[in-house]
Amino acid sequence: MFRSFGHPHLAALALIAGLYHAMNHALFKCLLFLGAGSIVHATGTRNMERMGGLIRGMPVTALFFLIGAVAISGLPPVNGFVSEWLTYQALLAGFGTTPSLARVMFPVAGSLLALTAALASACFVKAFGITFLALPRSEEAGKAREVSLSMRFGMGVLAAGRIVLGLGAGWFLPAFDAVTEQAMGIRVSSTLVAANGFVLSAGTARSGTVSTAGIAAMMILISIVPALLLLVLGRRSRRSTGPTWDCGLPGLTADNEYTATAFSKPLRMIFSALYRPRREIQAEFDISPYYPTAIRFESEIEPTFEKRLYEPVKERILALAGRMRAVQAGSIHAYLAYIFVTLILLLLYGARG
Amino acid sequence: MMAASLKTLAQLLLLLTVSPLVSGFIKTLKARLQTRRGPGVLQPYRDLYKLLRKGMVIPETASWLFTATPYVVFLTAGIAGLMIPMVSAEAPLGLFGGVLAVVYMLALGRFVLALGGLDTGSSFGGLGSSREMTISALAEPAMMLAIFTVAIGANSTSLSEVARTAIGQEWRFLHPSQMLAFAALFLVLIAETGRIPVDNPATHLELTMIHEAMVLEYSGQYLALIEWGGAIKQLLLMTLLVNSFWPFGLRLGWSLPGVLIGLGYLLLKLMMLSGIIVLVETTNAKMRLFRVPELLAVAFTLGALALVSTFLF
Repeated sequence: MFRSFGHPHLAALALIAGLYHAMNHALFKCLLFLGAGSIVHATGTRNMERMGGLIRGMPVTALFFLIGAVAISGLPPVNGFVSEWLTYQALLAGFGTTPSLARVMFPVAGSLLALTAALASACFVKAFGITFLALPRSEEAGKAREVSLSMRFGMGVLAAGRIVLGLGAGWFLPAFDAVTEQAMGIRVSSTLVAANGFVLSAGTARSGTVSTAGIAAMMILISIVPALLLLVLGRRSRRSTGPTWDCGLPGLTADNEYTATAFSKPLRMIFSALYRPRREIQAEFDISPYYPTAIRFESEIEPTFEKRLYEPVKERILALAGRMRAVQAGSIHAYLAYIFVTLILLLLYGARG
Repeated sequence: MMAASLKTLAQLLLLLTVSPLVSGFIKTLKARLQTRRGPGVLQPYRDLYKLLRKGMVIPETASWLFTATPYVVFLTAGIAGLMIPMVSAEAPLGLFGGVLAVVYMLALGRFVLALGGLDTGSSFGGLGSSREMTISALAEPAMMLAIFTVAIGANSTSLSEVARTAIGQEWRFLHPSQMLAFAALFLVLIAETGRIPVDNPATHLELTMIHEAMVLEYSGQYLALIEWGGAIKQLLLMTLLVNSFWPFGLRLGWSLPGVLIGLGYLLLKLMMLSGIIVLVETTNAKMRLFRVPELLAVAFTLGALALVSTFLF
């Protein structure tokens, strides 16, 4: 689209952003699926509501899964952020390319991207938090142990890839030159990279810059501040462990924890027009409804797009196909008649032309 | 290199020292407006000092993530704070990231804090995390639209560039698009810093707290780091707002008189913005959680209007 407006540089920037994101996505999806596989292998269940506390039994898997979760949410300093940043830059620059009202589309696309990224991070806080943190919700989860070395190695390679592609993005962008040269006839990576690959820029003189490596270096440097504060001021203080506040009830159990369903409840309610959640609560009681003896709770999300978009289309196609079947009677005489009629019509058409 | 390190150090000191002051000022002003005496402007310093010297209790259920969280929250806020122009139009770490990096650094802090809330195993932590992530998911699109409006004026996401463009046209904030974008970002600021009507920083009531619920299990030094990180985040978002829309007193370089003038103006502008925040906090009641999306939808609409009006006027 940028190319048709006469902005090959922007087209190249957008293409690089897209390709880089596709590559990143391939890597972090792999990592997360390997992580999920390890979890299933270790706990024997695929139900998140039965997990929890896995970070104790499987610390390495937890760390790798966390790196994948941060990357997929597009957070710095790992690689998801880099491709997202490039995409925002392409969208912002796109606003200046056309004078028409159509350019409002770019910022709106940008804000939708922001919504997607924020929802992704909410989703992965839930995925990581419910699976790995707090107390185990079932016996299997409590007994889960770290997976075999080969499984950890696979995740380790991908997690290292996330960090390298994130921190060293500037050194990888020139690899896309060949692609943009073929598609657009220009090489742009040199304009996107500054300070020997340490800093990424959006390609114009005054555009924004970002450096994931710089951010990571600063995080290590500035961590001196809290470390000093704690060392100097807190040299006399003690650190002890105690039970989590349980509102005075006798002991905190896994039943007190927030569940995955509860975690996403606010989002389900806010987007209820889209998802149409359905829930059913049945309580059995003896004396009064306030003292139930057993509660059955069912919650379900209607697959909106499947029901309202795909189903009608599918039904139309099937109906049309059903009507078409009348033509295909299976009788060889009928088919011969079709061929004959078609031939006559074609001959008539040809004779007229 | 030397000069850059000095600038970075100076701004870091500024962030660390001014952020509790701003929190204290808002608290005192709010108390006065509600005809209470209030704790005094310096109270946040005393609180931090006391917390930093106290011992802490770590929940038994928590993992290493719980202990890493306060550091990450503190560091992400600090680094994001170094990427914005405070007393000079030039941000010390402007090269490392612009407004997008600031937004995403804060998002990283929130991500980890939400995990820290879940790590305790208490219902409150999960409740806080769930609500915080929901609200931020809704605030993000509105924030991005308003940021785009600001970035389009300078044609750059670099905050130093935005400030440099703004110098010389100080009264541009009266332009409709700027005023609408300011309103949108102000609503986002309220949601992001957890103030009334979205969240109440002074409450510990189970049903209403959001941010406080997430950090309920933190104590002592870790709590101090989180509180300080929160104060820095509040300061940097307020500074971002005032310096992008009211660029009065900003100078280009880092000369000593220029920086002092910039500091004076910055404090003045922060006081004005605090005044607006206090007025909003005093005249509004906290909203029900499921009314908050409506408020953020208003912010989104304002952002969209700001964008459209950039080329109507």
